Amino acid sequence: MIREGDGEWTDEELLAAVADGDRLALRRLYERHAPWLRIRLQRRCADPTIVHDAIQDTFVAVWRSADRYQGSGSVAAWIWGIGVRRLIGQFRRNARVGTLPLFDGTGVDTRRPDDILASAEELVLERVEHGNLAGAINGLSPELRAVVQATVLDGLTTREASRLLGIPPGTVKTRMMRARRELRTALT
Amino acid sequence: MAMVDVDAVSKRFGRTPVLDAVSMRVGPGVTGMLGPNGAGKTTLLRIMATVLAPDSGTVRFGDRSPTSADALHAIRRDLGYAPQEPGFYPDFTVFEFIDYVAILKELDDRRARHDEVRRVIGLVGLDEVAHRPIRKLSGGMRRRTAVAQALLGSPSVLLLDEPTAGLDPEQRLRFRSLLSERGDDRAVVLATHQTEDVTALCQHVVVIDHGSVRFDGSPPALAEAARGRVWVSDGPEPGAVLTWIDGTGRHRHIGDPPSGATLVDPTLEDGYLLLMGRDSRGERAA
Amino acid sequence: MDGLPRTGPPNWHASTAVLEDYSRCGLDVARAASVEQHLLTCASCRDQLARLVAADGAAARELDELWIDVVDIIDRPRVGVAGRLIAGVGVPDHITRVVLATPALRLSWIVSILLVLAFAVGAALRTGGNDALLLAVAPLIPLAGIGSAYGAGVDPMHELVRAAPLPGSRIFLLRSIAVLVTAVPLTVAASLLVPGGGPAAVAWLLPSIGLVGATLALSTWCSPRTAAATAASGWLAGLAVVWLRAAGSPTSAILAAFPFRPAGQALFAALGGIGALVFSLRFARFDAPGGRQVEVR
Repeated sequence: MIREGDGEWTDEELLAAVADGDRLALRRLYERHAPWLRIRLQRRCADPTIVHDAIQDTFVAVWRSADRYQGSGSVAAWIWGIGVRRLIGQFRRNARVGTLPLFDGTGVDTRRPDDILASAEELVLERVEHGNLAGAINGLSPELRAVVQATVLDGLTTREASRLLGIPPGTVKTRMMRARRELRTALT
Repeated sequence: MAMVDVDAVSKRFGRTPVLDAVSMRVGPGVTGMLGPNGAGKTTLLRIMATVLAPDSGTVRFGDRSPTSADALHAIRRDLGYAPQEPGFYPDFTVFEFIDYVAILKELDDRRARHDEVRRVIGLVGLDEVAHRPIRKLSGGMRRRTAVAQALLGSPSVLLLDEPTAGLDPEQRLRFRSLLSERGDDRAVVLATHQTEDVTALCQHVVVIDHGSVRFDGSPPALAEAARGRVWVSDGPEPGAVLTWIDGTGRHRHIGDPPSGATLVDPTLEDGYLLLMGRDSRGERAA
Repeated sequence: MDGLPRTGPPNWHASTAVLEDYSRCGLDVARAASVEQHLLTCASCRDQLARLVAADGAAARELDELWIDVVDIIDRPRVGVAGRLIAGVGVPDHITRVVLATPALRLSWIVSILLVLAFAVGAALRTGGNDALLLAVAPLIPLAGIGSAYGAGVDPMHELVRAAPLPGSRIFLLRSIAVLVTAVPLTVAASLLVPGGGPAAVAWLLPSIGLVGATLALSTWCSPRTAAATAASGWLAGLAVVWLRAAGSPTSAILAAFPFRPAGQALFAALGGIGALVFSLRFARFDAPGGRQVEVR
């Protein structure tokens, strides 16, 4: 049981306490993680009510499924995974339509979406040391940038990204391909 | 209604008399109901909590008597009662248990009720375990859970049966500060067999033994009753009712001191032990 | 990219200026993404960001309110399937909770009803539709539930229930209704499984109502458990007399016994009404201190 003044608990210890029904531990996790989560979600959704509800759902989910944390990856990453999916869940509930202009992609990718994402991630992570990736990403058109952000940086699946952005899954795939092509060109 | 008048209340269970014409008046402040286990404290408290009816005698709450359904309802609304063993649904969490009692106390609006439940959980310092099943709690935590439900709705009469049993010294202190924060406008009755609780908390003390009131007055008056009857020496004494070795290694006696004995200032515990000791020698208190 | 974190363990940190920019939705996508990746692994920068947010009064207030909302949701008691069903038909939350705390409404109760019914229906099917056993035991099923709906011996929290303002008579009635609502439909469904039963298969229903009425009335004199046991004993004693005095087959005698004939049916219906009336006249007795529902511990 955690108490006032009990030194610094790690996130993992707090999460174990939450799994044991300790509400003060949840409060600590909330104090640590709600601020950045709120900002990060705000950058993906302009509607404060939806962001509010998504954060609320996230910490309720942390409370109810703390025992399902596997210990692979940081607790913050785990919370983010829940948070962004709750945001998508809120979109679905609010029947939100895409705010970005639909891009009529051409060309059919025959690979599975996972391969695309894996290669894209590799691409980004490889080049992140080299400095001009920032320029390359910023140089993308807004709709391509949004797809890169959702799939590569936020770690969403094609389907989830399509819900977040309000565009069909196929469009997510084709945009991702285009983005990869453009990034590669810009970086070589 | 911060006033309870108990008038000539008697109760027997089968053929065993448990209370014999007990009269006492409880007003604002903390009243200690002091007595050994089995003295009838719990039965008296249950009668005051409208759980049991006396065989004879009456209990009045302020200007109300529990004679009509309406009066009874009004009395119960303003009453908090923490039995020694409240009985729990073991799979309930602390929150669910107290929330359920709040429903029994007719706090029907969910949001307001949950706020009140959180408040009393905070008062007894159980926030951390609010969502743990009661069966996983220690005895001290269960005691605090029992006390917390009695605080729901800030009733003006609070009846607590052995609330400090099973608490460690730190929790005991915390409980004392909680009770002393209750203010003077409430009547709190604390049934206990521990004189420390009475010394620390009570403005009024009623000693009950064998179903009768043996003392009714202020804690200093109970101590004063032993004035001239407590002395110290370096060995056993024939006139002592009770003797124990105090912290300094000397013998402390209560009873009839020999002439020239080193009399000391009595404590409340001395007064209480003298009262009980007399009884064990077959003398009756006046 | 001054002040921006790169990959790897957080051996260096985002500057306050960058975090401030980030928190105000500034920074371009690439820089923001970089900050975000770093925040996932760096507790120190998360804390720094939290301090920035805390310094912004409006954001801090909003997070405080959000926490209250979170707490409000996690504090809602678990209600389970039965609770959602009851709440689904518009029963207020506090009444649902009182009903759900009924000892008789536990899963084990439903399971025992089903076992008893399965046994009785099984017997009827084996004997080619002779449902004497079903008719004999069906009226007792609600009594078992009502007898354990309220009282010192059956409700662990009874001591607190007694001292609380919510009238015990109301709790007892609510729970009795809940028992009837679960037991009666199950028993009707079981009766209809017996081939060739028709309306006669539910001939137990009015006697059951009569016995429930008797239990309610008796419970204003004694504990519900004793009341239910008394009513059940009366029923079984009557049937035993019929069984022992039967000239021919005892089961046929039971099928033709008084409670299942029109006059008997009318009498039990009347008993149900009279029992309810007695309860409504005497319920204050139920709520008074030291009512017989309190047993000495």
